[in-house]
Amino acid sequence: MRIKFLAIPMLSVLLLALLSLPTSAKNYQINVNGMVCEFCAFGLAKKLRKLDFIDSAQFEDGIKVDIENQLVYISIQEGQPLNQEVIFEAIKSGGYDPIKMTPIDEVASPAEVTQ
Amino acid sequence: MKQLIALFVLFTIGSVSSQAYAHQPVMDMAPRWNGGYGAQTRITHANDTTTTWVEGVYTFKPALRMTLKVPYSDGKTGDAILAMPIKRYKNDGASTSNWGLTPSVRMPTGGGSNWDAGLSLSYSAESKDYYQLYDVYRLGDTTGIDINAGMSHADGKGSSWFTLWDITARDSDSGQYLLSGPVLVYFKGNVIVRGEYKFAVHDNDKQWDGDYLSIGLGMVF
Repeated sequence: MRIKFLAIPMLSVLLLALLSLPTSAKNYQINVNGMVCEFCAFGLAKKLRKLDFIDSAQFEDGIKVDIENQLVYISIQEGQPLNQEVIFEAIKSGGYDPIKMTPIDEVASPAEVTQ
Repeated sequence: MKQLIALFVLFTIGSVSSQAYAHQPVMDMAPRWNGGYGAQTRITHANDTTTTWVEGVYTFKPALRMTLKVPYSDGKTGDAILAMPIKRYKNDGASTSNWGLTPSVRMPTGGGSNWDAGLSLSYSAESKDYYQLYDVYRLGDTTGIDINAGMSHADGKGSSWFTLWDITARDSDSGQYLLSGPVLVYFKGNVIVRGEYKFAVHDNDKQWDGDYLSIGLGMVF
């Protein structure tokens, strides 16, 4: 009886702790083949900004492009699952080829990206 | 629905519509994305005649577009050109290129009765530093070759310049001419501005006399 009495609050605390953990990184870097001009970037960013899980408060309406290095930075809303397939499909519909997607923390600090 | 609206706009422009030799996609560079559309106006001056072109483009998908060009000159509309550029893109790391095959039809919207069919084969490639376009076509009795090649300069903040050199060659029943000159293209956001000046390097065309000037303003969405 005493174990049952303690187990309920302990499990609740454990559940809250789990929920507070980040489910995934929030900002990502995507390598995009062929994205070499500002007009390329315009169309591609237009497609990505239409995705409903983009965090428009980050970067420039949720997206930042670097045509010098063919990179796109994307910010996902907190708590939203990462749907790489949908993101890659949006880039393809913009006319370009996504290669890989990496959490920003693994390649650069968010501060460096937003500079 | 958006596709239907865009097609309606294109055909409405065509319904309110000389000599026309524009054959390429309205904008080779954009819009490249699914469902993209755009319009531009170009004013050209050649042979003491000023012509205003109203041009529209709709991109079904990167590999398939539809374009319409309607000239207006001396108070009347000329023959409209409807084309369907089919493109095959290749995206490398720091460059992108495409082969294009463009069937077209010139419609007698200027009051005549002749319909002309056309076909164009093109190749273009660009990186962040250069741009080049090669196009060979046949439309009606005219065979043409267009070459645009030069440098691109992006500022990394949404705008870029292209400084190109153009070579235009035409062969038709009335003779041949070869024009050449600089082209300046400026992009900012969804706006494109293009200016061209060409002078005659070779000219034995009875219908050609003088230089060529073109200024265009377009937007894509």
